[in-house]
Formats: sequence, C-alpha cells, structure tokens
Amino acid sequence: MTASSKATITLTVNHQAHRLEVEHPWTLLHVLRDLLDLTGTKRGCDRAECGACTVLLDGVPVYACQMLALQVGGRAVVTIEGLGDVQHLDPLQQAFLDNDGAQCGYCTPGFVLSAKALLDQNPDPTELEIRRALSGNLCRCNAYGRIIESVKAAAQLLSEAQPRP
Amino acid sequence: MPTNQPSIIGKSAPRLRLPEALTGEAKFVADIKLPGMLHGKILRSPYAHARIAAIDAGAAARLPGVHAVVTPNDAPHGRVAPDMPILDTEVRFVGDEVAAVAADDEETAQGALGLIEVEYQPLPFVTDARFALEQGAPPVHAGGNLVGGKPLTLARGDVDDGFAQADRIFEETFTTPAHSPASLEPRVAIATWEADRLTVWKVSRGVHMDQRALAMALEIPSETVRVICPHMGAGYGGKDETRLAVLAAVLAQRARRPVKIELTREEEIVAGRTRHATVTTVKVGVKNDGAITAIHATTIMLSPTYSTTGTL
Repeated sequence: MTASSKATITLTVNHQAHRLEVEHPWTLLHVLRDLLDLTGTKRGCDRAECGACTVLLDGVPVYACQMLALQVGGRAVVTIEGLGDVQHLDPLQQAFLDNDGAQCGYCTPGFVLSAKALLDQNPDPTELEIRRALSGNLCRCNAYGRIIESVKAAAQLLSEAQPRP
Repeated sequence: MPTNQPSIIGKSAPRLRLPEALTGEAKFVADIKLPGMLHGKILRSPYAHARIAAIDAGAAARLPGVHAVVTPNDAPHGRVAPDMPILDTEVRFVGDEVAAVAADDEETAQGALGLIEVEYQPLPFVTDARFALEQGAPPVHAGGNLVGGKPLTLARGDVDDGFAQADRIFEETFTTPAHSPASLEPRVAIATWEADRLTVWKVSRGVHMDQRALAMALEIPSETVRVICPHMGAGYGGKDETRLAVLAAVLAQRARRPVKIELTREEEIVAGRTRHATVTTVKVGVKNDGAITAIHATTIMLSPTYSTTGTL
C-alpha cells in the first residue's frame, strides 16, 4: 500500500467526531470494526446480501460493507452502540427483548437499525411497511415472525412514550 | 403455608444473553482482538481431486509482514479426524485446505498465498454418491467410498410380511441436493499459546469435541487445550469441524503470537460443510383403506469428504 493511497476523513459516529487516516480500499465496515472497535456491526457476506453490517448513514440504513470510508467523509453514522446499552435499553431494543425478536443474535444489530430508520420516519407503520423496511436484512435462524412483532411492539411503546398531537 | 411463592414457575423469563446481542456488546469470536494478534489466510485447492507433487512456500515466508506458514510438507503429523490430516499432499474437493499463512494483516496474508507455488497432479474424481459406489469409481480415501465400510441398516418388524399383506405397493425415488447451512456468521477461530497451553476461541456446538480434535491433531494432552465458544452466530451443523482451529493453532505456535482466521462468505460456500445430498428410494405397502403395512427405504447420502464428526 503506497502512501498516496491514504486519505484523511472526518466522520461522526454515534455523535462523536473522529479524524481518521484511511486507505482507499477500506470500507466503512472495516473502519467501524477494526479502527473504532465498534464490533456490534457484523460482517456476514461482504457483498450486500445479508444486512448484518447495516448502519445508519445520515439516518438512512446502508450496508457498511458496501460503503468506502472515502464516501462517508463529513457524514454522520449511527451504529448499534449508538442506541442503548444493557443497563439502559432503547425502547426499540426493549421491544425486541420483550418479544424474543432474535435467535442467535448475529443479524440482530442490523435488524434493530433498519427498524429504527423506519420508525424514525414512520412512527405507525403497517405490517407491509415493516416487512419492506426489513427486506434488506436476512435472519438465517428464521426469527422473522418475532422480529416483525418486535417492531410492531416498539411502535406501540414509542407512541405511548411520545403521544402525537 | 409456604412463606415464599415460587419465583420462576408461571413467569416468563427474559432471554439469557439477548440484551447484549441487542446492544452490540455481545462478543462473537470475530469481535475478539488479542494483543499482537496476527491474521491467517488459507490456500485452497482449485481441483476436485489432486496430488500435490510439489509445494514451495519460501517466497511467501520471506514476504515482509508474514510470520508463519504451514504446508503439507511441514505440518505436524497428527490427525484432526481419523481420515483428516492437518494438511495433506492429496486434496479431495475444490476448496480443500492446501496451506495457511499468518501475517500482520489480512491483505498481507492474502498476498502471501499468491506467492505459494503448488504443482498439482489432477486425479479422477466423483461428485455423485451413486457413481461413487460403482465398481472402479475413483476412491476419495483409501479403503473405498462407503463410509464405515458397510451400509447402516435399521429394521423393525417383519417387512416382507407387511408387503405380503399390502393391497397396493408404491415405489418412488426422491433426491435432495446438498446445501450450505449459510449461517450469517462465517466460521472463525483464534488460537493463542501460553507456554505449552493452548487456548482457542471458535464457533462451536461442541467445545469438548473440538478440544479432543485439537489434542489429537497437535499430539498434546487434552488438559492443555481450552476451547471457548462465546456468542455464536448460529451453525445449523455447518460449524462442526476443527481443522480451521488446528491451522490457527499451528500458525500461532510457529509465530509465537495469537492468530485469527476468519473465513469469507465465498469460503463458507465453497469449502464449508454442507447438508448431505441424498437419493432415497422408498417402497410403501398399503391397504385399500390407506393403512400402511410396510415401508422399505434405501438412502444414499453424500457424506462430507472428511468424517470430522463421525461417520454420518
């Protein structure tokens, strides 16, 4: 790797600004997992098929394995670590826990973030809208039924927490 | 009157270890980093069956950033399973392990693989279990292609008598293809040595099975081997193998540093374990009212190339 293939980017991750020296071929997934130690973002396929590496880029779910670090300079990323922790679960995570919306848990961060992107835009989605929003995430354990129930429950929890006018 | 009400019975318990999976705090094997950890890559066979006539990994070993190499010429002589050496001079499927390298990073290890020179002598091969049982079929292993040497027969009751009582007899042959379980988490193993004690983190449904296989392959006492499976991104049977961990352990021993080997999705599909393809002929005897009087079924299962978890 020659010195000329490096670049410096600024990147906001979970509301924290980073200045990073990156190499041209590096993906956002590599930056998150290997430079910033944010290992909640999972690698499953490296080819935009499984959704395990889903993160929010300026609020929009993207596959971190398909974004070059150079493409995300100056932008804001939210990873699963940007939601709650085990002592303070986000209502969306709580809904997944209450509804058993996972089996092995490897696809789970990606599903939670795809669901977050949906609910941030559309607080009262139909089941079809939920299914469409989650269609970029695979769960090989086949927990889809519980995952969809979890998102419905999360919408309910969020509407109770913040009643709309 | 009992003073305490039952604390568990009748109540729904929260799922163990789900909260940390939901927050990203769960550590899967790929998420673990050890100080000084190297990254391993595996060179795989491009042939379904071949003899390795010559292999030269000298240039790979000399590449800056490479810390250890293992080839069939210098691998330890123990076996991962009775029919599976650590590395062999005969490869038996496309994707079979040929050599492995540990380097400072994955890119360097991958680059080093390209410097390993291998001279393959392609051999006849067979990929369909039906043809594998025919006279003169190319042997996958010495001793014939029927795993265990004889068919496994399960019988109950008097089948001939059942067919004699049948009003009608139906016979059909069904096939199912091999498939990859394709767990979302690819296989990964980390090995580290402390003096003569080995610790391995790997995806596993049976850490004691892995402990035995590692001890057998490396010819060390099993009490010096510890295998840890933290969170696991499912397996569905596809992760029941130990060669990956053995290769990580050999590389770690040579480099005197921890080694992690993570498979790519492509490696998972090409070289991962599959569900057996099957050819099943079923003969069923029935009464006119639909009552079944006898069933006779013969299944030919295409077993994995190596019997790493037993003969099925």
